[in-house]
Amino acid sequence: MDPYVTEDQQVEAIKQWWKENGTSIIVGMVLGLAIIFGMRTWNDWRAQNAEAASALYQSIEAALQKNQPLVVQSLSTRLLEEYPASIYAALGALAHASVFVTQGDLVGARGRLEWVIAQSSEPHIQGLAALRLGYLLLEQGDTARALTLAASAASAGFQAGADELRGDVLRAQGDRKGARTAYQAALAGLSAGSGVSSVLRLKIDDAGGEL
Amino acid sequence: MLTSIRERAQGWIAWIIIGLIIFVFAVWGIESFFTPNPNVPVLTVGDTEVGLREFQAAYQEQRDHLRSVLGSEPERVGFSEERIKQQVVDNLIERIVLANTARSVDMRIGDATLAAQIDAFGAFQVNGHFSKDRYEQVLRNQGMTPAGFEQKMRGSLLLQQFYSGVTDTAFITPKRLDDYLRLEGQTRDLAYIVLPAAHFLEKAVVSDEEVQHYYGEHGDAYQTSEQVSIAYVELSAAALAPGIAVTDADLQTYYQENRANYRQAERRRASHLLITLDEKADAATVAAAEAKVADLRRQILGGAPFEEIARANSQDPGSASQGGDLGFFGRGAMVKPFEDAVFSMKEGEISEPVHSSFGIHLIKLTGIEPTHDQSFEEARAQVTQELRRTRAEKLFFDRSDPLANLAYEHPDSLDPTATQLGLTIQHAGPFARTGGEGIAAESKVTASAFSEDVLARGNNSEPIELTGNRLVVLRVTNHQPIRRQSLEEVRGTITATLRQEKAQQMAKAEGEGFVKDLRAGTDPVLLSEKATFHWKRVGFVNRKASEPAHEVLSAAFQLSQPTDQKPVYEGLVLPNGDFAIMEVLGIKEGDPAAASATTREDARRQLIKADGEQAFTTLVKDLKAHTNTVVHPERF
Repeated sequence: MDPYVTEDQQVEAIKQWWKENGTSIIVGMVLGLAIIFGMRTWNDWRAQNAEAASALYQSIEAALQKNQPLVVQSLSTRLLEEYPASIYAALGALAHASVFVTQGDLVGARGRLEWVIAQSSEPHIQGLAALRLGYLLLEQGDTARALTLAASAASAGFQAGADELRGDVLRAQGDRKGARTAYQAALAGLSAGSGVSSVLRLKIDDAGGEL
Repeated sequence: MLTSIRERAQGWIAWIIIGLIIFVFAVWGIESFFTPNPNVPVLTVGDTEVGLREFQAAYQEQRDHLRSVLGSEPERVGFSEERIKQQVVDNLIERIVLANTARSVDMRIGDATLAAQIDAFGAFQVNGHFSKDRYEQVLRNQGMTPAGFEQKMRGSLLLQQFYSGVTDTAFITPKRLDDYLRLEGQTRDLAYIVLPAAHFLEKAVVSDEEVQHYYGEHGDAYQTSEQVSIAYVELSAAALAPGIAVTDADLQTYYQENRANYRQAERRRASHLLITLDEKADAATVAAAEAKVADLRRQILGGAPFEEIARANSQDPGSASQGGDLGFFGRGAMVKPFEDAVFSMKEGEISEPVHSSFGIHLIKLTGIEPTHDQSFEEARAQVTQELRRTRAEKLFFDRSDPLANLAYEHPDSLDPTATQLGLTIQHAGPFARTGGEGIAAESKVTASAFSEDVLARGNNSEPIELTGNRLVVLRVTNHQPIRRQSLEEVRGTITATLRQEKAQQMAKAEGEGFVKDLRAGTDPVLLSEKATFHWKRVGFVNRKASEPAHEVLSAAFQLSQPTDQKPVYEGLVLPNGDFAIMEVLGIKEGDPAAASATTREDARRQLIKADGEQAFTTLVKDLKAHTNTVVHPERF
C-alpha cells in the first residue's frame, strides 16, 4: 500500500522532510556529542585532580608518621590552595591542625579546623573538626562555644566523644555533677575495651560521688 | 514467498544477525544459558553486592589467617564455623561501607601512588630494586593477576588513607594532657581499718529454729551426687605373663626361631681429648684452639702417649682422668660428627681434629666389637620375657571369648566367670558419673557402670576393652541415687554457714555504725580503742599502690574531696565478708610539671591513639548505621 507512486515523489518527500528537520537533527547530534565529550573530559579532569590531591595527602600521612611537621605544613598548605574542594584538603587541614597543636600554636590549629567546618561538604569530617575545635576552645576558655561544638559533633555521629568534651567543659565550669553524668553517658556509648574508657573512669572517679 | 526469504537471507541483514549470534556465544558461552549463576549475591551493602565466590574467598582467607595466628584448626580452640562466618560478614560490611564512602567523597589512588607502594614491597624486589619478573612470578604463585592485585592494593590503600585521616590527625591539647597527668598521678592520704567477720563469730549464735528454717528454704542445695560401687574381674595379658611356665626346650626353640632379634650391633671403643669451644666464639678464639689441637696432634704422632696428653690437656671433665677413654658405645650414643669419625677409623688410628658442638676433638680408636649374634645364654633373660609375653597375649585372646560368653550367660553374678577363668573379683567405688580412682578413672568404666543395662537391670557389663590388652567385666553392687541430705547430716554445715553470715552482718552493722559516728565527728582514735581494731595509716599512695587491698584502694580513689580539713569516711564490704572502713585525709593532684619528658610523651601518645581510634570506631559505626545491609545466611 505505498502512498508514493513514483521514485521521484519519494525523493521529493525526503528532501522536503530534510529541509524541515535537518538543522535541528544536526544541532542535536553536535550537542549530544559535545555533552558526551564534555562529560568525559570533566570526569577525567576530576579524577586527575583527585589523584593528584591523594598523592599529596599520601605524603602528608607518611610525614605525620615520620614526625616531620614542616613537610606536613607545606604539603597541606599546597593541598588547600590547589585542591580546596577535595576531601584531601580537609584531611590535610586536620593533619596540619594536629601539627600546630604539637608545636603549641593553638591559634593556627583553630584556623585549620574552622576552615574544615566552613569549607568541607562532608558532615563526618566537619563533625570531627568540630569535636577537636571544641577542645581548643575549652583550652582557651570559650566554654560556651565549646558546648555548641560538642552538640554539632554529636549530631554528626560522634556522640561518645562529644559527651566527653561536654563533661570536660562542665567540669571546667565547676559543675561536677553534670560532668559526671556526661562522662557516664560517654562511657556507656563506647565499645568495650576502648582505650578511652579507662581515662573516662578516672574522670568519673574524680568528679566524685558515692560508691 | 520462499524465494523472497532466500533472497533476503543472502543479504546483509542476515549476516548481521549471524554475527550477533556468534558474538553472544563467543563471549558468554553456551553454558550460561543453561546453568544458574553460581555466584549468587550473599550480602548486599548499600548498592554493592557480594557474590558467593568472593564470600568464600574471604572466608578461606580468614580461616587461613586464624589458623596461622592460633597455630591450629580454629574449630579446635572454640571458633565455630558460624563465628568465623560472622566475622567475615562483619569485615566485609565494614570494608565495603568504608570503600563506598571513600568513593562517594571522591577519594582515589592514582597510578603513581600505587606504583610507588608496589615498588617499595620487599617481596617484589631483587637486589633492592623492583623487578617486574619477580612481581609477576610472586603474584602467579599466589594465584593472582597483576590487574587483580593492583585493584586489591588500591582498595587497601584507600582504607589506609581513610583510617589515617581520622586517627593520625588526632591531637591532645596541653591542658587536657595536664589534666590527665594530674588525675593519673593523683595520690591520696589514706588510713583504713578492717573489721574481720571472724571476730564476730563467737557472738554469732544460731538457734535450732534458724537452722531448720534455712534447711526448709535451701535444703535442695544439699544433695549427694548419684554414686555406684562395682565389683569387677579383669583379664589382662600382663597379669597372665608371670604365671606362664616355659621349659628350656621352649626357650631354645624360640631363640632359634627369632635369632635375628638377638643380634648385637657393632660397638666401638675410643679415647678422645677435647678443647672446648663456644659455638659463638670469634675467629681469633677458634684459630687459637685449632692451633693448640694441631700442636697436641703433632706431639701424639711424634710418639707421646695419647693417654698422657689427654689427661693433661683434655677439657672433657668426664674422661680426662681416664686418659680420655669413653669405653664401648654403639651408634646413636655420641654427637653426629664424633660418631661419623669414630665409625670410619681404623683401630689404633689418631683422627684429624673433629669439630662438634662441644669444641674440637682428637680421637683415638682403641677397640672394635663387630656386629655379632648373642649366644643363647647371653639372650636368655630377654628370650624368657618375650616368650612369656607372646604366650600371655595368646592366652589373653583365647580367653576373651569365654570371658564374654560366661559373663553373658550368667548375667546376675561374676562368680562363675571368675572361677572358670581363675580371676579374682575386685571392688571399686563408690564413685560418681564424673569418675573416681583406680579403675573408676577410666571413662569407659564409669560410662558402663552408669549404663541402663548395668545400673537399672543389674546385669553384668559387656567386656570393656582398656588399653594394653585389658578386658574388664563389671557389675554394680551398690547404687546411691541422688538424694536430699537429711537435716541431721547437714546441720553442721548449715550452722557454720549461718554463723558466718551472721558474723558478716554484725561486722557490717558495727562498721556502718562506726562510719556514721566518724562522719558525725567521733575521734577515730577513740573508736579504735573502743573497737579493739587498729587503724592502718598508709599515707599518700597512688592508684597502683600494693597496699591497701585493691578493692579498698579503688573505692578510696572514688571518694569525694575532703573539705574544711575534715576527712572523708566510707565503709565497704570486702569479698571475703570482712568490713573495711577507709579514711581519706587529703588528696594531692599529680604534678604535670614534675612528670618526666618520657612519662609526658608516653601519656600524650597513648591519649592521642585512644582518641583517634575511638573517633574512627564511632565513624564506622555511624556509617554502618546509615547503610542498608541485607545478609542471606542461608546462601553461604
